[in-house]
Amino acid sequence: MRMNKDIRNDIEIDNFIQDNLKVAINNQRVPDEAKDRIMQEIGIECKTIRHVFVKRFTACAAAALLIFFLASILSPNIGAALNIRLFTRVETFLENTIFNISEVYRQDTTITNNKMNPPPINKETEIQKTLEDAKRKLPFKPFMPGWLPEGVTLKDVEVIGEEDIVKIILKYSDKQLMISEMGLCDNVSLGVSFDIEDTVVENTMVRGIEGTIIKLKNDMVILKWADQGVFYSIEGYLTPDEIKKIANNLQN
Amino acid sequence: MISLINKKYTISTDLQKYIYETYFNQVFKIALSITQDISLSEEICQETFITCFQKYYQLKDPLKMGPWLSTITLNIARSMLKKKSKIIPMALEEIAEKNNVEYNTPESIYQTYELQEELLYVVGKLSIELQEVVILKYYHDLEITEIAEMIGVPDGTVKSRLFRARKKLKEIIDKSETLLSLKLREG
Repeated sequence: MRMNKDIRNDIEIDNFIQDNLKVAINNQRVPDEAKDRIMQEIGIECKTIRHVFVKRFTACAAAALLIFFLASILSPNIGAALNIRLFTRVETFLENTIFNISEVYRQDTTITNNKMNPPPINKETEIQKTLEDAKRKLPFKPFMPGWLPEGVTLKDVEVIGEEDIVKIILKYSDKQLMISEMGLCDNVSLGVSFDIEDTVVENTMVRGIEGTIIKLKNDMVILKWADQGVFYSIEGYLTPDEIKKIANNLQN
Repeated sequence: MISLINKKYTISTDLQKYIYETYFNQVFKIALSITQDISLSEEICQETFITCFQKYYQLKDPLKMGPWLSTITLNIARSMLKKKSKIIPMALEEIAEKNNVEYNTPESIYQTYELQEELLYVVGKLSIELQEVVILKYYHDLEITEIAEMIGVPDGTVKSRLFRARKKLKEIIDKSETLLSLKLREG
């Protein structure tokens, strides 16, 4: 420069300082740890608190894992239970936060392929006040018992379903006797499954048609058969003979 | 100690953090430029922010936070230097060494660094009043009236100090030029 040769007046000094002072100050190197150290000294709780929080969280997590580990060794049952509970909690937490599934139900009946439609409201079940009202709702003429055990009287009449499957249930006052008759349309098949270890299943003739009589472990007896598009079922705490007698005495 | 300090602060913790994060480098670098002493600069920096948080309400224009902090930094630096009887600045070689500037660099780089280090050297030789106006004028680019308002003196005083600062700088530059030439020749 150097400077004394070039700088002759105030403007030159101004320009010289202007050009270099800012750069000179900004070129000063700040030690890496100085900022945090001074911050801590001043009392601004910033990174310090974060560090403490991270340390405490890590310590708590480590302690929890150690407890689960020791519990698993010392008492496998308790350990397993705790672990399952922990994992269930974590799973629930992750499910709720990561996937965040929301379901929207719509009553729009034009959307036929929407799997998210709500389950249909069972408006079809109606308890009829009289047997005559129930008969009027059926597409078939139901049979009524011509013989019943002593003291058993009709209590309720229900009609369930519409169009494809319509069912009438006659509930009686005693022995939990229940007679159901279900009218089936074409292309509808029904099946009944029972646990064979607890159930005795036998084929029997009912009204000249082969039916199935099922004896449950709890002494309930069920008789089922199908005739001319109607599926019949009689069940109750009766003997098989009594059930078959009711079936054979059904009449229009 | 920390809790006692916190009670004295007149501003929220969030604002403290914001000011600290924004102006830390500026304050530290100015302190380091004046003292060329890292540990002393840390002390100055610490005291500067404590003063800032305590007297924040005295700042009339928040946009002038940078220059205001520089003024505080220089005042604290002066009082600390007096208290500790520090002799500043150091020799040019030491300044360059502290700032990772090697004397054996290529000529062009060497000259640029040397020029800036020499400028800091001569600014450091000025009195605190003159340093104040020089920093506010050339580092913060403030106008005469803004500097006057900032340090609470008439415009004429600022002009006078700037005039004296330029004159002093030129004198010191001439001397340092001679000294530097001698040192380089000896080396």
